[in-house]
Amino acid sequence: MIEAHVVTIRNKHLYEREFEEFLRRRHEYYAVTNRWVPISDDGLELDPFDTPQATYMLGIMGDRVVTSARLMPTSLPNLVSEEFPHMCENIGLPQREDWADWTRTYVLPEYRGVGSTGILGQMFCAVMEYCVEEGISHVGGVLQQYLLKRWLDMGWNVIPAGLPRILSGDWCLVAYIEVNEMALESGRAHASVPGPLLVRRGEQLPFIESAPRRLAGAAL
Amino acid sequence: MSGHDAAVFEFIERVETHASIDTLLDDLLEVVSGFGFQHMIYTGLPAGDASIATLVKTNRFPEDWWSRYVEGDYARSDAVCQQVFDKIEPFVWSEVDAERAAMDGAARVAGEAAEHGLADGYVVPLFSRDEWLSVMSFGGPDKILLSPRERGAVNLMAVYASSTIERRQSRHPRRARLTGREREVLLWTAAGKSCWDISVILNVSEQTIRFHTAQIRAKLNASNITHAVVRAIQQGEITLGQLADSLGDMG
Repeated sequence: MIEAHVVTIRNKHLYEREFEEFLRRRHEYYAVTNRWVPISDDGLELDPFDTPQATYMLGIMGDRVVTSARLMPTSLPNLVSEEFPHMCENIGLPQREDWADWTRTYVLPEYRGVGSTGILGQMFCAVMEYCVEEGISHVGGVLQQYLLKRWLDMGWNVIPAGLPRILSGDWCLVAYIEVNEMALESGRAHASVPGPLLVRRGEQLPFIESAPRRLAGAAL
Repeated sequence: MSGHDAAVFEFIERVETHASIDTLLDDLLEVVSGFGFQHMIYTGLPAGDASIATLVKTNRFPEDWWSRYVEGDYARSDAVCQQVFDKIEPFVWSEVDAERAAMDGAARVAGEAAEHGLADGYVVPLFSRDEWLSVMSFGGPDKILLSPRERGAVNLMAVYASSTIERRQSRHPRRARLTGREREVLLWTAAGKSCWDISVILNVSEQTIRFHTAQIRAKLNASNITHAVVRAIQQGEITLGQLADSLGDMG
């Protein structure tokens, strides 16, 4: 089972090695092996949305970062608003602080198992857990069509923002998942995740500035 | 947004609300009829020597076509099915790679499909909940012309419908019971009668009997008919008494 460490600008100093390791592995895979993104000089893959407002979850097993996620309020520039706003013809472009844009979910190839009980399902549960705690109402973004089925198979209600289109050879769409306790429960049942996966170390940054977090033991 | 698109998003909004899988499929077929489809199937694809019959999740293909497809093991020479194994992306049946369409038996499968009202179609590869390579395939009597947007629309409906169907089926695991006719066929088979013998006894075609025996093996997850008899007794589908009676008929 992974531990999903929540990393923001406030506690990033605690995760320097892990953070760099993950960006390097992503760069090797996306840029060097598959040429999907430009090769960068420092060997790290960063994009315009790696800003101080981004929240990362690093999925750690042993001492390795095996998967990740990046969330950004849709009230700020994000991948959908800047590159795919035309793919939201069903619901319009979301621009709300409680609707999160979800990117950067990737599993290291050697950790890609088969089946619902794999690392990817665990990361899905960690993202849902984080969204419930932070009072986020919807989370989603641009994704491949086959991943939409994985979300639905978790028992999640997913709103398609628009119709699928072919992006770089793959059928992709923009879609958002409804966040709630039931979704967390059904997702855990499907992915065989027995309980919480989030780890919060050091100072935290609330996802929504104005909303109180629903963190267990953080009543004050 | 066109009226077509609106119908697709409305279908997705109500996909979880149907009382049964049957009403969901009625609804799906109604919406896709706007794209020229009249039939659909959602099935896993057979690996190795396995029969496709055990992998079907929902089936609205014409019954006589499907019995022929299963009995003739057409999946092996069906160019559309074989292409999905290689390229996991949706395509219109008539756009299947030329070299695959030229493979042994492929033209016969396509020709017979057309005779059964499946002249053309569109196949959407999917991974089932348990990660099995599956397809939702739609067919109709005429050539299918789909714009990229329409393809996206059918893909989207297939993804939602397939996930809803699987979640429903896993909540109410379907323990397939044999029909009365299947039980009858199984008992005659256990008594040593051939498919031809049984077709004469029951006054139906031999092909129909072959279809029944394939269904029986599929429902009982049995590798051959002897195995099927054992499983049927284990599961209470037939009794030893019935078996003794049918064996008695041999005498």
